[in-house]
Amino acid sequence: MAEYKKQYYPGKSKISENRKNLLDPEYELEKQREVSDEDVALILGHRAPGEAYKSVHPPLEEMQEPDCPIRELVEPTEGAKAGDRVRYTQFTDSMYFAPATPYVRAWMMHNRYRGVDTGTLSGRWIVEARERDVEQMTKDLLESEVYEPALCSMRGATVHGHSLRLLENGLMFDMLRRTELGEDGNVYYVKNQIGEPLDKKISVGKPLTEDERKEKTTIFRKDGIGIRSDEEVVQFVQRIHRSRSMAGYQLKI
Amino acid sequence: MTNSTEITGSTIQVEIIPQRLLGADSTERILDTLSEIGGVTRIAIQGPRLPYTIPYGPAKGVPVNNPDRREITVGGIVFELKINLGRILLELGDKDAFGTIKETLNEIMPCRFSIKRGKFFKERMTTSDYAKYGVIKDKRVLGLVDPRSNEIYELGSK
Repeated sequence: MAEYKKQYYPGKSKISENRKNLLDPEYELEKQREVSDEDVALILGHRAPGEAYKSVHPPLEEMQEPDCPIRELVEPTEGAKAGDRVRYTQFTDSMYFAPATPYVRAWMMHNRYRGVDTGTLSGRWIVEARERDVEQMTKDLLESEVYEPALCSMRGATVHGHSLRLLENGLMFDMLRRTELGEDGNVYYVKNQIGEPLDKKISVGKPLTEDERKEKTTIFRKDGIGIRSDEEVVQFVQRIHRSRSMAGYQLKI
Repeated sequence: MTNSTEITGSTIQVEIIPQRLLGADSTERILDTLSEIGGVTRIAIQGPRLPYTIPYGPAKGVPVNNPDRREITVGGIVFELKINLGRILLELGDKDAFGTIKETLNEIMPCRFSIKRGKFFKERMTTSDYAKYGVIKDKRVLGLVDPRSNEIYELGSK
């Protein structure tokens, strides 16, 4: 039998290449900034930095859990091993050439992480997982090329803004003003993801230039690279659409 | 029923859409300049609302403290700006004012913008207007009030 190499996403355009990179777990995401564990915990707002993770009591090792072949087969994640509670993180990506889109983020989660429950809406993307896993994922996302300080934002509630024009200073509109552009050109979180003020400002670095954004984006746009310019992507979308319409994915019918 | 354009004697209406959502400083500067141009009879602004407190979610009720939500002065009138400016509607009493406005905006607008003539203000009272305000006596305010606002405007007979 012929060996197939996973393609992850169809097409040959720059956007397809970028999507392939994000979806491929073998591809190492480019690290662009440093955000400390403490700062991640502050933005998430689920626990105070340094506070112990709230986990099941008594600890899982002391519990007499029933025999389960699946548990023996599957190696638990760090959070699952510790019996952490389930928490969430949520991101919004602007339509103006953000490096990620909610759908890409969801695909990315399924390919790169285990033990996640991810949800996609038109303008936001949410993932639920065990608390320490959520913190690790958030840190990875904030520090890597998936995040653009002006065009992506952590928004646990009131996500409105992804399809609006950008603000005068280039940031995505945020009703709760969680981020602000500092005089040094860096973007700072001044509130946590649900809008409660933080005691300190957390820097997430400088926004990219227009050219860099267009180079890194995973969004097909008419004023950038249009989806119709990539024939293979159009064929893929049409095939999915047809299959879905004809048989609701149950192709045996 | 007489319509508002008849009352103000004008049929020239203008819509200005900036490419960015403008903050309080730019909004104040632009609106103040526009109000000083002769021939502008009515100005309406639209844009996404900036709440005073967080309206819903786990942090409901926490003050937002948005620096763009503040009092601004336009043509000597002080009022609280509650939005980021996304769209300006003007009604002109003077045809020549259009050219002046275009030139002025080219100088003061901090970003690119589009400007066009058309019909943008409503002419007649709607049922919602009647339910909310009663009979509006001064027809000039039609299209200037926010139909979604819960604030009571002392405009009508209610």
